Amino acid sequence: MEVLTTGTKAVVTRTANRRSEGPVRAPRQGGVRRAVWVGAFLAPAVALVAALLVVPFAVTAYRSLFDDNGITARFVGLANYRSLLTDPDFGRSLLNTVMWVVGTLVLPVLLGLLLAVLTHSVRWGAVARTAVVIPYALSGSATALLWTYLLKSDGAVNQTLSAVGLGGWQQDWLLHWPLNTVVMIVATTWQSTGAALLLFLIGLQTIPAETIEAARIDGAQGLQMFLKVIVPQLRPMTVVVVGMSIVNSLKTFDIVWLLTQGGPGTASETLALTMYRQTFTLNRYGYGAAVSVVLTAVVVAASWLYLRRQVQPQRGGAA
Amino acid sequence: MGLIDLSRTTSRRALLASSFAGAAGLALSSCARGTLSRPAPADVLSLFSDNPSWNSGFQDAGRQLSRLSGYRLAPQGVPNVSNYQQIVRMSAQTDSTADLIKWWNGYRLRDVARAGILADVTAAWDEADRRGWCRDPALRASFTSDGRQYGVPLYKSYYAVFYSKPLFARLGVDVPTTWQEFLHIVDTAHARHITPIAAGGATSWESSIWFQQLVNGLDHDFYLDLTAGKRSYTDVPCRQAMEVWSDLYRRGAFSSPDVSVSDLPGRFTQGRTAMCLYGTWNTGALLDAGLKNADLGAFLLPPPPGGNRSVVVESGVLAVSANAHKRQAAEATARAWLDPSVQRAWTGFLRDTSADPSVVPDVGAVREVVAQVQKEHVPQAVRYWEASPPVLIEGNVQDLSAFMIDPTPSQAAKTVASMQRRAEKEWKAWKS
Amino acid sequence: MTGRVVRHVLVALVSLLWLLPTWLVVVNAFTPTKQYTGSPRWWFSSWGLFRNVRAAFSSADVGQGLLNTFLYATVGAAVAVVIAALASFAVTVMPIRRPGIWFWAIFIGTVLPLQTFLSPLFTGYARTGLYDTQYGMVLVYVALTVPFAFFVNRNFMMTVPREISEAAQLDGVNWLRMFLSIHLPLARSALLAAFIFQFTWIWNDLLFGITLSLSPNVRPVMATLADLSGNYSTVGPPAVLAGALVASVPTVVLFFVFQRFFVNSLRLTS
Repeated sequence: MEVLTTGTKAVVTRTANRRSEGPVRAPRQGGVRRAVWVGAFLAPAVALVAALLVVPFAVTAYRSLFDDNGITARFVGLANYRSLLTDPDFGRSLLNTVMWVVGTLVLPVLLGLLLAVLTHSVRWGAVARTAVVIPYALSGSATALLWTYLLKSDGAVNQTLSAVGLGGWQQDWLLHWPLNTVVMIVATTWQSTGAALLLFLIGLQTIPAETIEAARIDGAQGLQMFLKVIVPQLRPMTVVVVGMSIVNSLKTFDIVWLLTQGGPGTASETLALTMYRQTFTLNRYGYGAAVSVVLTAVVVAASWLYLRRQVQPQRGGAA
Repeated sequence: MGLIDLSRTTSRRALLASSFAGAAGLALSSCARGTLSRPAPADVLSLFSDNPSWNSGFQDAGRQLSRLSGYRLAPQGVPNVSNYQQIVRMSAQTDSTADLIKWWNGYRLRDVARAGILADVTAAWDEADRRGWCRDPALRASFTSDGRQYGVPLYKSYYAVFYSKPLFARLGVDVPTTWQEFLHIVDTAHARHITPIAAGGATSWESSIWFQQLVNGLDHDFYLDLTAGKRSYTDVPCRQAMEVWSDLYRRGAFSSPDVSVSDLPGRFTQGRTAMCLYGTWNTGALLDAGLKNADLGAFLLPPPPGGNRSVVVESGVLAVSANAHKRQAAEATARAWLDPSVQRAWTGFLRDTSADPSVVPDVGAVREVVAQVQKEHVPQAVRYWEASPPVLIEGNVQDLSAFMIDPTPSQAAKTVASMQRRAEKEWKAWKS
Repeated sequence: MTGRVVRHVLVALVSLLWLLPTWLVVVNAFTPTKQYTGSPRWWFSSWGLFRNVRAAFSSADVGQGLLNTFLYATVGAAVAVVIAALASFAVTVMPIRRPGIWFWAIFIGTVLPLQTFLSPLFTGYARTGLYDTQYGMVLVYVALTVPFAFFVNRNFMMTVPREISEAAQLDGVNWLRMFLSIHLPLARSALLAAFIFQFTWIWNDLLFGITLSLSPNVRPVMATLADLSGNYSTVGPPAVLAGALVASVPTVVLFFVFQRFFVNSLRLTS
């Protein structure tokens, strides 16, 4: 504690001396001291991520060079990656994954944004928000059971269609590609729009009331206000929502696994399911690891492309 | 913003933060180790299974076992089958493995036995043979890898057609003895807008049920050769089986392929479905879900024209882990497993048949099947799921699921061609 | 005027669309197992919920699972949010060389596919004695939830005007005090949101629950509930649904309680 106090005093003196020279951008502390501070703030997060996530991933990546059945392993170099390229199922699951990325960017993100803004201007918006957020709180198994109820051949959707005289529109929703991927994206929209909605609401809180007021005085209204003022001001949160949407959709696993197990055949498989099936159903740990390395490369590339301008923070007004 | 104000709020926040940290620390220090992964008490053997709802059955059997071998069972269930397989494989080489492991027979057993994670229990089979508990060379062969046995039979199930007795009475039909009679029931039910047969499998292993039934029913020897990799999926009997299957679909014999077996009790009770071809191991679940013993019947499906009567058999495996903490005790328990007193306790819970033909549970449907098998000396075949290398089966089952979505003759041709391509590739991989 | 009508109709329509499936969950959890046929019901046929819940609780140790999950979700999410807040303060406010690299060092945790961790983590946990322990579960949940909490907090802290921290610096405040008295309170809505999201994530996790734990006194509730469903289920889908409904009550309540918090101080239109 003594040391800290002295340090603080030193900072005070030094910053006081520099005050006349313009805005201070960083505390002038000793390099070592600064490193210790930074280290103390960063270390827990970095250490946890490294030890429990990055290292296990590295182990898996190393495994992709082996022909490994989970019990015994034989080094095969890049053979797993070569057979990946010639696997027709791999192309299909890549295509499905792309559908998921596009679908969840269009539906939950856009709907979340619209609903966040819309429910503000409606007095009973809280009711609507609750309706949209509840599904996010439900567990995956409840969601899967529910959507099975809705989508199976004698399920609620088909029952309703025939009850209202649209029997001709009945479908085997989960049994044919690409319909099954599309309806599963809809199911995910139902579940995850609430999350996007909440994040956008937090973003809306950061917009200063003066900004809105100033725009209103300038005559901005309705759609114009939305596009010209609210959307740009929401950018930091949009980055979070879109960034997570890209990452999560590339990793889509749970809902597909619970509703179709990637089937019929391998029709609705995503990359994460291909990896899971190869690793844990077929016990080809090496091949599954190769799929996961490819998947990770895709996710890293996609999120880097999206986030690279975000990573260097544009620092407030002082920058 | 003054320094003094700041430090005051800081100390309050620091207090809050430290009390929070303290609470978290307290919560963590009260954290527990799992009761099951602690070293088990001296007279208890741990048992891994993929079915938590069997735990009380294992405990019943364990009480009988403790009189014979001195050890009770502590079952540990992992609910998801692929997670279960993965945990068994991963834990096999660590200290966290169980003493006893539930597994599958046939090639699934060979797959892990040749990796060396299971103990040799040939002595248990010798003893069962000597005491007359189980003298079944075909069954024993499906527990064998390189001439030694690596597990004892947990149960022995037959694939039979379950049917609703009240509904059969209402339709005015009887248990079929020929394929024609069977088709007559299908047509009668269909004409009354009742689903004749519930058959799931759009996204599960259940797509292999009708395939194995029809191939084995048409030509039992061919089925044995096909699953042993000696014949082709494009050979006549296999193509014929697909034709019969496709034809049944055309007659409206089957439900939509996304039906689930857990819907069956309600469908039977409400008279919406007449029959379902399934393993007898599911009998207990059907009865627990509310079907009455008196209303549930079962029969062996008559062979299609040109075929002979034969039945598909499924048998679970009780294996001893090579790394077991109490390997000696586990081996002794495996030897005692087929003792009739243990089997009675266990099958009484399961309401399924034992590998010991003298132990039959008191359930009408199961008794009917067993009586038919014993009276007619029906030849038996290992279920498709275990009858070939696992990777081949998993892929072919997916092909069959795709066929069930589109059960046309042209799709049938594509399906057998794809299955054969995979067979050639995977048999080579298996033997390498 | 028409704009307002359109808005009302849109919001009403969306709420209805979202509530319909939720309604189905509730109604079908009330269906007695014996009357269940696989097709959903739209209206209550009886008050079978309590029998279904009892079936769920007696077939699997759901009560103990709920306690375990409560511990993991509360402690795990709280610790993760604090750690994430520290790290986001470091990369947004503190003078740090190459913040981009540190950002990615933590953010990478959200990028990696979860299924890749299972096998190595299991082996690592089994070797270090963390397998099937409550502290092992808390540890893995903290690690899994730090990256997203960090991402949210960091992006929120970037909106904090630079002048505030500079003023504090001029007053000679050390980093910890600056963090505790300025940035932590300012970011509280982001922190709370991150906590709620991560609480929900941990609460609903199944994958790590069934992989890294085994005993009833360690297993989280979703893993316990999974015991009910599956191929050999003996209790029937309505009981599974009833169990899932009961297990979801805490997260729904959490969202409901904090709903007000997300929207206060917002005045976009009149």
